[in-house]
Amino acid sequence: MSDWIIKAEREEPLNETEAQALEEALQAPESQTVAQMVGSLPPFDAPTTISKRVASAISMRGRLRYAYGFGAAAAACLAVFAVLSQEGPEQAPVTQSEASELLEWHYEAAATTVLPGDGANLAGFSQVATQEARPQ
Amino acid sequence: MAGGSDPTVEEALIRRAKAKDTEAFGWLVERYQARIYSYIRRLVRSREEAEDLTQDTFVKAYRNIDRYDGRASMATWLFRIASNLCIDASRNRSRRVDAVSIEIMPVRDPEDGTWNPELHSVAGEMRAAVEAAIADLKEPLRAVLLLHDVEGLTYEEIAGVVDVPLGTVKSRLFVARKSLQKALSPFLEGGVSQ
Repeated sequence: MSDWIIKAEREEPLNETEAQALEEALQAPESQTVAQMVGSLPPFDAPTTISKRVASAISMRGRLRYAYGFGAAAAACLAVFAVLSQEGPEQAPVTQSEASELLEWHYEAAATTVLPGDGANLAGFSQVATQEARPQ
Repeated sequence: MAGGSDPTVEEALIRRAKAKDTEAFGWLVERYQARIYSYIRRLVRSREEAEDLTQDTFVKAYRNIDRYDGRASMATWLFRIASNLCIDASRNRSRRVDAVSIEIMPVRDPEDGTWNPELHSVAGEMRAAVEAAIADLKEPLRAVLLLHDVEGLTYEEIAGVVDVPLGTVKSRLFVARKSLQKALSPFLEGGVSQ
């Protein structure tokens, strides 16, 4: 067997001479006879269901796209509603006595903080004056 | 079917199909389904699988129609999609080398069980022999043979469909025909010459 035939069977690259031999072999009468036999085969009749199935698959894709869109939007609305409805009751306001205590604490803290007179040296800001006893 | 083989009509159909006009795409399906189905049928050797793959081919074509740029013919583009789907299917399917399962030419009529009269004619026997010889080829060789000798694609078009170099297309075609020469030698005048 010729080398180029072996190379062709192995799908190896052919040089120019080998490629020419391949082309001549393809055009040879015996090769053309086979080509004609193959080419004379009648086509198969495509089942009529194919075009219907394709049409159905295509329109289903369109309907599914809309369905998914509506579904996604509905799911998002439900999720937002669920989050909003999960908020707990508003925090109860503090009692009056608790508020008074907080205010007193604030005054004491302010009174015990020594600020520099001219505001220039803020290093003294953190100094706390000696707390005098508050009159009862 | 719209417009016969008028290329301008097909161009208009393709433009409308790209705009997702399903009716226009339907006309394209009608135009090409016979060729695509015949090609796939001989490639996968199963009627049921061929129907599924033909449907898949056109669905995929519809999904990607906006990528079709017209450099290749619509037939070539569809054959490429079909070939790729058949390659994927052959990887997934368990190989059945059983020649009896080939549903190319039923020996008996599937409806009443009588012998297929076509087989008793020389032409019928030859046709059955050719179909069987094609079915015995390895799939890459079979694809090139069908695309060239049945569908009439050029070497360049086939190279684009099966994504191999031009030289490989010619090599595969040569090897395929050589194999058929041996298988069909009883029908060839003078037998097979080496």
